[in-house]
Amino acid sequence: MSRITTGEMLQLRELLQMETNSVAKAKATLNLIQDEELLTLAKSGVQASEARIKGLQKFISDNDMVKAEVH
Amino acid sequence: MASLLQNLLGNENDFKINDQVLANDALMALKGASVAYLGATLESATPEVRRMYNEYLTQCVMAHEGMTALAMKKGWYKPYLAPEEQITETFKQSEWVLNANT
Repeated sequence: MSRITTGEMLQLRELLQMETNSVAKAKATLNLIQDEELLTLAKSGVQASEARIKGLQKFISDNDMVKAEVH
Repeated sequence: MASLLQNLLGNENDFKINDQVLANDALMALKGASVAYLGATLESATPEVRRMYNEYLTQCVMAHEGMTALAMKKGWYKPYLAPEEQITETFKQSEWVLNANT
């Protein structure tokens, strides 16, 4: 695949940071939710966000952007 | 000792975040993520990168749509209310959060 630009790499870092922060916050607030429907939606939101993080991680490691192995 | 007991049992006046606040926060987070992915899509040149961001943007917009529907159904978010009533409701919430015990 084509090489990635410096700007793209910086943006990729920003988006990964955003998703990481938001999933951490979402996980912390899960046990504060009272409403069953909101809880279901929040849980699926966490799963979707985790899947996006894995996609970003895969892209980063597939393109050899990190020196250490991503688990 | 009294405070330890209070910590264990919880105080009636303790501040508790409610579902309305959590739902509103989720809506704002999804809006922020959507804006971020839209910007990233438009600013990227590499096709694979654009495709991935575009897909994530769609996911965020759809999640926002679902959360909006639930928030409206539960009465946590009332976009069709008169603007004066909406601002009054938010004003009351802002007073509530300032008066809450921490």
